[in-house]
Amino acid sequence: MKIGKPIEAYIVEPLEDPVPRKGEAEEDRSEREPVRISAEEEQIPGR
Amino acid sequence: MIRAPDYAEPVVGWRVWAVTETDRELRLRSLVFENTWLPGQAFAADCGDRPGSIARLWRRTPRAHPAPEASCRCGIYATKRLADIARYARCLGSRPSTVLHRAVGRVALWGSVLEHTGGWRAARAYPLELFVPLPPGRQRRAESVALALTDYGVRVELVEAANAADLVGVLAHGAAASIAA
Repeated sequence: MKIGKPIEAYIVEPLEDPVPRKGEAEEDRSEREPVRISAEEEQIPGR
Repeated sequence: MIRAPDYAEPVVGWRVWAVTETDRELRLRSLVFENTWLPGQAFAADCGDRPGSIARLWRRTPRAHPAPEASCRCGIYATKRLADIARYARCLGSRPSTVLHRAVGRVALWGSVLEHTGGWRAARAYPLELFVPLPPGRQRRAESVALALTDYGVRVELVEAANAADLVGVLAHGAAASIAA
């Protein structure tokens, strides 16, 4: 993957764990539904 | 001496993953390497410059080092701009016959992080949000992929797009529209 030239090195230690808690990731799959959106509806604020 | 962290929030970039079947489950896998990202576990970078690897023939870096290393090319890659992952959404990657689908997403990066002009290389990562292309005529497969990816415990969106490259275009268009609004 091409990501250009190196600029800076730093250490990132998030205060909150970016990995969802185990219970959240392992709950019954039937309880979850992916969000379905059409190309016309897609809006991504702030990206 | 332990170095104090420079930032308390993960860096957020963009990635493309292959979706493959691992242990009878659909899982995210790196496009280029045979590395599976497991639900509920941070993916940890490991330098692929192992004994026997072709990279060793052109070695300029220490034999063993934690990833990412500035003088190596190791680490978990992500781009700053969504548009920059479009080319990877099209690449075949390793063992293309095992790739069932592709997913695009935002990824959290942390630990040791090397910032580049167009992205980052990091020591640890986990998906923050996943987008699955929903191609006409292959909706059932896309829906089953999206449902399986909810195992990662993050938001999963099905987006009407022929493939992952088109999906990047759809997302980029949405982002541009929201900025213009």
